[in-house]
Amino acid sequence: MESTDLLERYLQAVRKLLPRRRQDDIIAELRANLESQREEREADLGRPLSEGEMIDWLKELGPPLEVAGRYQAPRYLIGPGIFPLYLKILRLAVLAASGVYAISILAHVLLGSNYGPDWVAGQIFDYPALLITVAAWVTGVFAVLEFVARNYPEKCPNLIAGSAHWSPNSLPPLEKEVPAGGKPRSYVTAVTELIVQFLVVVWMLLIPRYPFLVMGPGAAFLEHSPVRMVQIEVYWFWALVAFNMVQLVWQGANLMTGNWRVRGPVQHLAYKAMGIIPTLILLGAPGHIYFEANPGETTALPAGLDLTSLNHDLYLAVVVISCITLAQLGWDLWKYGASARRRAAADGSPLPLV
Amino acid sequence: MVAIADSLHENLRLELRRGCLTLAVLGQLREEHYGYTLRKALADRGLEIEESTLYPLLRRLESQGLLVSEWREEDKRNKRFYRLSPEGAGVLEYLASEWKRLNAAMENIL
Repeated sequence: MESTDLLERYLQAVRKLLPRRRQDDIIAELRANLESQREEREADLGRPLSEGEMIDWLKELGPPLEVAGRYQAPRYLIGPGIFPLYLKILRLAVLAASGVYAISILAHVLLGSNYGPDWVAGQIFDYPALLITVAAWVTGVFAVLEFVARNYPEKCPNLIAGSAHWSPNSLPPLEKEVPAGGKPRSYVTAVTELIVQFLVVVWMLLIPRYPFLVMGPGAAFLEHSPVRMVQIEVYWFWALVAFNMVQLVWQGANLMTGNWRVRGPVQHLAYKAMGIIPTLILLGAPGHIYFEANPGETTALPAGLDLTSLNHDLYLAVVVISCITLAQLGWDLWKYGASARRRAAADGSPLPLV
Repeated sequence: MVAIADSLHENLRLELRRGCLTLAVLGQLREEHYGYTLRKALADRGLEIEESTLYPLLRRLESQGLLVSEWREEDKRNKRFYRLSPEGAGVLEYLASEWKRLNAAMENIL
């Protein structure tokens, strides 16, 4: 591990904890000052700092949480020393509470019989109250910690004990590659995406029991329609559900591990590849049949409706969609490969995967 | 018990230093410095300040209008140079006289 790499990882960790609009300015200044200091140390030694010396120096500087905390504006309830830790805990608490809440709703919907759309809607409307309650509890606990630490320092030495055990080795790796046009997402955006994804999954899971959620009043007509969907559409639907659930879990994992800002190439490509599966299921429909006559209905087919030509047209549409999505995946793979080759040629380092 | 005593001593020491640091930084910035050279200059005069204390302090003093700053290239690197603003010079004069008065009083007390 190079010492430059360690310093950049340190600055990256501090940056993440700074207010967004001041990040660039503060980090530029901090970098200039720290690099000057490092150069002087190296000049005194007559050689570059070793990894151990770099680690000792960064320990002297202090954990990124503390360094970033000093740049925060004065806060009355929670001081700058523990404010970044408060933010971190608040995020984790909000995320954990949201996860448990989501699982609880899903379990009720899947296992119970009396939990319909009205009940789900009620739970969703209750969600902001849950967030406010969690935030209030976390804030209250940290306000008490701040009060005790400020007023009775002799009774709680090293209240923020994590500082004493911090090691630069625990700094996360550098996030070198930002996808084209991929402006890093804020935490709020990432949480919003997770919530929307969760709602989409709930909505999809409710569709088999309540088809009107996707078809509206047409669901009642479809039940007695002379035309019905074939089994392949059921497989296609559940593939879509599985795809969205994978996305939900992945987004949650990204939030838990602090990787919400940038979607890595592996995740990007995996989403693209998984997105193709439902289309390929439709492409493999036996006999390219998507709709068939409903044997239970004696009503005649609408005038001018030819099931054979309808299925043929649908098949052609699926072929076109498959070609487009496969071409997109191929293009993204090529871009990723080219980027990896450029990086390898430039500095020999591999492209970060996640 | 020793840990508690050490912690108390450290907190009292930090409290004592806090106001002095502002005065020292204002005094040193009658000459232009960027963060690192300012820290060195203060250390050379016997006052060590941690980076994590000094750099945010510079920001705060600037936001209060006591310092002005400018990004400039030096040794092929962009650095942010600080110096005392006219308002900061007035505050420095006021605080310095207060410091001398306090210092004289403390000499008598201690």
